[in-house]
Amino acid sequence: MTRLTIDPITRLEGHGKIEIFLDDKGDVEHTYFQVPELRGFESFCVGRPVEEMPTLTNRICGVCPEAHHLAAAKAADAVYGVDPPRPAKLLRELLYSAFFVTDHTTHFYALGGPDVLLGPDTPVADRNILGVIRKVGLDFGSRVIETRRGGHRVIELIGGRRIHPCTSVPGGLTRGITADERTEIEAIARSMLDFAGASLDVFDGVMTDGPTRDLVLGDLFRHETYYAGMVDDAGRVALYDGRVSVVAPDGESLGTYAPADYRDWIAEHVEPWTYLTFPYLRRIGWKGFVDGKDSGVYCVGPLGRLNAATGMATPQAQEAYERFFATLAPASNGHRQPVHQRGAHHWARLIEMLYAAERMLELVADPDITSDDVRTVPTGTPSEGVGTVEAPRGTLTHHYWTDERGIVTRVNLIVGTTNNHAPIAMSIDRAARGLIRAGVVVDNGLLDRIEMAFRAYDPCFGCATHTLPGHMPLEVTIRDVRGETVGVLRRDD
Amino acid sequence: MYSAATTERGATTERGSATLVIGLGNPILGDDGVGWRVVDALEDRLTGDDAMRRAAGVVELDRVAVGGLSLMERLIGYDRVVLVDAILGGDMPGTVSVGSLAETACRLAGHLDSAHDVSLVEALSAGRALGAHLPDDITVVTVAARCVDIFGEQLSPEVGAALDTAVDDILAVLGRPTARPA
Repeated sequence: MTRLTIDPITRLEGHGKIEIFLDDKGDVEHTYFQVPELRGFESFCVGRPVEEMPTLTNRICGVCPEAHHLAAAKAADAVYGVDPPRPAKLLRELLYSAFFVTDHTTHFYALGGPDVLLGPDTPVADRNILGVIRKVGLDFGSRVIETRRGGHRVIELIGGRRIHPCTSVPGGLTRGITADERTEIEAIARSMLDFAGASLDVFDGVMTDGPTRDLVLGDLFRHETYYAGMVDDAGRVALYDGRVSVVAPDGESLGTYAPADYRDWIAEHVEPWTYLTFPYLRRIGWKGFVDGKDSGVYCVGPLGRLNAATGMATPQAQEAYERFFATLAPASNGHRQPVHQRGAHHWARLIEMLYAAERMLELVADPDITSDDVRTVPTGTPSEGVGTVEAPRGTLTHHYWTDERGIVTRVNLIVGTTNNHAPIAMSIDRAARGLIRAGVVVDNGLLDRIEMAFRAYDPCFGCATHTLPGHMPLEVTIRDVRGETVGVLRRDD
Repeated sequence: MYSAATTERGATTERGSATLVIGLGNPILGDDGVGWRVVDALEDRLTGDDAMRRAAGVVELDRVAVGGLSLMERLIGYDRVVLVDAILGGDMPGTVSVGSLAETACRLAGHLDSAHDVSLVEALSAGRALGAHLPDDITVVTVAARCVDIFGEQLSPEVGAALDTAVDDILAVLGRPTARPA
């Protein structure tokens, strides 16, 4: 059997490794995707007051501290059995919406988006934010940085700090915003809404390019799985609060559940070759890394959310949502079909960016947004609580247990990328099978396409492995039938 | 002016100073937090010594847990920057090294080149292309780490023992005139 290893070239934490085993004919037999796990986060938390968790867990990772901060705050609310006042919920959602616009902007223009913006055949050395700036022009490039700056400003105004917010506490927030701050946030939100609309236009422009269209719509990155994401009372995408909706590969609803019941719905499969678990739908069961209605594998993140919802709660985003499904998955059997092409994550992400910007404008227009009533001081005896938000990369759940003084005794986290662990592994496998065949020369272009398979998910193993995101270069080692190395490929960056 | 507002609230501190010293890393991930601890030690040293503070010139201190684009954005407006970070590699834990960004970027413990971000070098190029005022003079002070994969606030003994050396090296850099690109 021939063995291909895509392995880190350096010694750092957070690295990933892909091993591809070929059979004696030279076709792919098995693919394994591995990330190392950092240890001790739970024991680090045990013994601390639960109110420290919102500022502590946002230290897990520098990529989405805002998501951890709010999931932790909601879990701490639940631990104390306290419901924050409406203005506090609005403010948290406003901060969170600004974070979403910022994070999705970064992914589309700097991280995964360059694959579609510049086309998959652009050399890897040029397929980055610099290449994007050359393509969209300096003025538009400046708007990318301007949008990030605006997002950070909103996060600072509501969250107290620019990167690691600190104002959410059990029962609400430590402070509200002034009328002047509201006005400043409104101006930022308007600019973000313009930018999100312009970004969808940019996307439409690049979709006329054949190779890009194939990357987004082609079968190389297609999987028929379940989808999950949080929705509001009307079944529309919700990022800060709601119930989790689960939809089958044929578009049929499996139902919705309250985040606190996640253990009734989600189980975690363990494989001997990786520390990271593979969550699956308990009711369907684990059938392996396979597509289909009988397999409990589900997908989260932008594509999962759009598929699991019935629409968007804001008008422009709803229009974009309808066009997305009309283009990619026309209705049949009397109901809408999910979009299964994983490259469509890029498009779905932009629709969410539009929604988050529109939602910011709704929230700043709410008369309660400048209210001083931002905290209900907890009086109950703390015990156990679950807090869930939709992180950019998927459903994020924090679950804490405390003693009667509120001291943490146990912690469980299921983060966005962990939910997507099985689909990511399957996409890598699908890409490898589609690309590596007997007689095909394995080169860097091939390695690059395999990487695109998981980059579309915007994966972040930072907190999936409980660490800061590390350098994640990859190395492919090709081994022959006897397991001996016949070649090594590296991504140099 | 030496700024006493040296929390990680980067956006809210004054941007008038010419030199910025930043500790990088995750402060709750063992030796990964050594950059923060070096900056803490530097702050203590500067606070207690007027002569040293004058010699160091106009310096602002910060501690962050970001890399790539976010780190680049934090550097906007400064002429000179010193980054302090943990490093994993062949050196004995506690070994302190000083080099330019170009010499060091590929060896750092992830923060300058994370899986989920563009590299700092790439981000700086993008920032400059977009007209941002970014420092040409970036020095990287690294401290070789022993363990960065178990959560905790303690440094390994040999890493903790290196703080003074790292502070001395930073002060030496600060005492130097700002380097200009050739």
